[in-house]
Amino acid sequence: MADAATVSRFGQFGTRSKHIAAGDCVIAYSGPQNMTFITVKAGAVFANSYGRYPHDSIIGVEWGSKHPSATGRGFIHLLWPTPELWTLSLPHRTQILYTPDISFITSFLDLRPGVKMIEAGTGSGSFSHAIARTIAPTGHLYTFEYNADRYEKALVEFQEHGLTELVTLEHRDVCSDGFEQRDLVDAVFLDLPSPWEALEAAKQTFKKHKTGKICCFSPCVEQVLRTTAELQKQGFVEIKMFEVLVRSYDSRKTEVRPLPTRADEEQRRHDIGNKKRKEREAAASSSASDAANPAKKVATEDGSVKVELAEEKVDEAAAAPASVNVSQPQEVRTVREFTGLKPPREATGHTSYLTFATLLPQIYRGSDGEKINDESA
Amino acid sequence: MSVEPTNPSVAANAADAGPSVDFVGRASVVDDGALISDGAWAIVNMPSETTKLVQLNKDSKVMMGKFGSFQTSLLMGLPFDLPYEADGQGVVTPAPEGFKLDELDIETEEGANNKNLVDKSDSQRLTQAEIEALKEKARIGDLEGVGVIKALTENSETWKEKTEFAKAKYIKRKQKKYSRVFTPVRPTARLLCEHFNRENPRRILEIRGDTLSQILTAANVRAGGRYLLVDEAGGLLTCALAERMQGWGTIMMLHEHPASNHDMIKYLNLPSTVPDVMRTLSWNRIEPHTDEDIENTEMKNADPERSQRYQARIKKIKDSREYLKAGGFDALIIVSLFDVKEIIEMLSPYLAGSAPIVAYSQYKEALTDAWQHMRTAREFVNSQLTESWLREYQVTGGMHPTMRMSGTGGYLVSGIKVFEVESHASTRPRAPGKGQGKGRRKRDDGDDGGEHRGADKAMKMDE
Repeated sequence: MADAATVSRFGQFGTRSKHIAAGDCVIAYSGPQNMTFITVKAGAVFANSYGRYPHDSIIGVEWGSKHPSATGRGFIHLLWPTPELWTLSLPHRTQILYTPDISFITSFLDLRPGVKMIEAGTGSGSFSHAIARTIAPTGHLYTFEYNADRYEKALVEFQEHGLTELVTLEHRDVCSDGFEQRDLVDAVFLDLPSPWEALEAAKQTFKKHKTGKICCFSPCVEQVLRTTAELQKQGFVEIKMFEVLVRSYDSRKTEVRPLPTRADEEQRRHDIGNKKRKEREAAASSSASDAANPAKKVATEDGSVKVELAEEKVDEAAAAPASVNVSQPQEVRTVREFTGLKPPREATGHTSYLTFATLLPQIYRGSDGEKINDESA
Repeated sequence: MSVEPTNPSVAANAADAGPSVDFVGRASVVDDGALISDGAWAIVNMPSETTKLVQLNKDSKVMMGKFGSFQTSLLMGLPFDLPYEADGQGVVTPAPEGFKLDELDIETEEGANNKNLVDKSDSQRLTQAEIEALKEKARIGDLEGVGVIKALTENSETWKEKTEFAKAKYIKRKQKKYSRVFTPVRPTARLLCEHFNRENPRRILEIRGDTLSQILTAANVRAGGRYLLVDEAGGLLTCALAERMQGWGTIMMLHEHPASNHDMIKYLNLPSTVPDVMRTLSWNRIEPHTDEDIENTEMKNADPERSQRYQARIKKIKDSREYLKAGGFDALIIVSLFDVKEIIEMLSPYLAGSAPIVAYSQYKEALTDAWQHMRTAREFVNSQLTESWLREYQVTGGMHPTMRMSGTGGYLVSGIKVFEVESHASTRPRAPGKGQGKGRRKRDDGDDGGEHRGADKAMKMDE
């Protein structure tokens, strides 16, 4: 097991076993909005509003199990950590990147095993984990954080998650101090308040003989304008900007009613008349009697629901206080039920603008084998 | 097939002990793939803003329609993604600056606007014959494409009055007609997705790039993973997975016809040193068939060569089936026109606990049943139905959302497979009737809210 962890270089997240062992990171799942990230230690106890879960009871359990609390009254599901679940269970230290953004950036920066990459700043390490997953086992991530507190926390997490072979974390302000990496990386990701300040330095880090990709992640339009101007100045091409979101759906069993007919209206008046009469009778006799049943829904074999206009059991002749004739044949009309899917009333409308650009190869050979372009020469 | 045929016990061990893949001793292919080599596939960005998928052989010619043609031999050893200019005689040279826009006067006088612009056809001083002559010169290579546009702008009476934005727009339009700059791009799953979305969207079931990227994250695709895949998007998903695995791990693909179609993988230019990760099995072979026993078939009396071929084929089927049935897969990815709910029911038993499931369709209606199933059956948690949304902006020459956008990126239903039975590790007594049952689960799913309980009841009624 330990060997597998070393070779995948993706630590805890890259080591898939059937059963949970001491030292494993586990997502304690109680609901989509209620996930907690725990590291299993003998003797420790995890507690949430549904109960207490001694870690000892978790050790040896199969991943994905439904696990009862100490009293047996509550339960959690024990999930294997993925970067995405980890992100959702994260105590937020900065505005984190969400999965649609992470997915899109990963794809647009052409991340795959073997890619070397720069990230600034590290923030909560949310994207760092996703990058590490994709570039493992042969790639490398250099990530920079200028906030001392966030740097310390991320450092501990990378160590705990066994990512140190794959990720190098540095406490550094790249806007003022630049990067030491030269001719080394395939991709750069800048999640900084003023990414344009780091672009000139970032350009130097790219491999010179091949295409490089950069992404700047900024919430505001003003930032995008300054970034694109600087990208153009630095010679980046193919500048593109996107907003990406997902729209989630709620489902609800609902129905459409048929248009009312004259018969419906007459029936309604008839029912109200009956009801009032019954109430009068009930009041008069002081005995409890059933209220009139206006209509009953009956499930039919084809799954639709018929609304049967109520057959009055009361003697028609005696009960005819209104002048309407209700003894006509009653027509059976159908309410159509369906599962309605709709987006929730409120949803995320914006995360950030994703600005991408390409840096073309700076050194290449002419068709005669000569170097025909080498800026560094 | 580089993965050794596995007997079930070995596979079962592998599932328990994690993927037994060797991560050491193989160099990254990220750098090697950066240069054009003989036989490499390229997505060629044409001046007309279309793309062509072509194989660049040492001694072939690529036709570029009205833009002429070029000798691919001249591209060997040069980097992908760089713009090249064809001279009209078949010769190409790197044109890193792309189209030489600097030669054009796009500076604008202050206050330029269309206040005095009159829509008339005689603002161009060049005659049609003169323009045709310039075009012919450009076609045979006597004049650069940019030269034609230069002549057009210099002879336009209204050019000076155009705003910077209007000029940029005009040049872009003319560029499509006169530029001979093309860019052979190294194909990636994302670019193939874009290419087919332009050229033949039905072939890939109209999956958009952002949706494809979300599938890969939802399924936690990575090197060393073992994935169950149903790919009816012409092999695009296979491509996307293979790209993220680079030879480490396994794709177990279920397919309809006797042979699977994942031909698209060739476009990735994966070097032969990258092991094949594919295993395939037809839906009809999940359960054994009588023809697998040679004594039951006419192959019994066939000549040895045919009989051997037959047995090899049967062995491959049996191996794949055993591999599938050993289970423990890391994710299930479904892009299919078959009933998604049926696929989930059939394949989720082969998933490891906590494995993600993700299914795509252009139509949310095609996913509704599967979603309801995942929401109500207790062997799934965290299920959701989402639609992808993407907006591109024009950033240079005036920032605004692009005038035309893709209407939808399609729908995904996702969830995580869990075990319905409570873990056996606990021997503590449980209060009867608590911590179990659908009502309970719904409460625990927190934000699912009360309205869904009604929905669940209705579902049961339907059943």
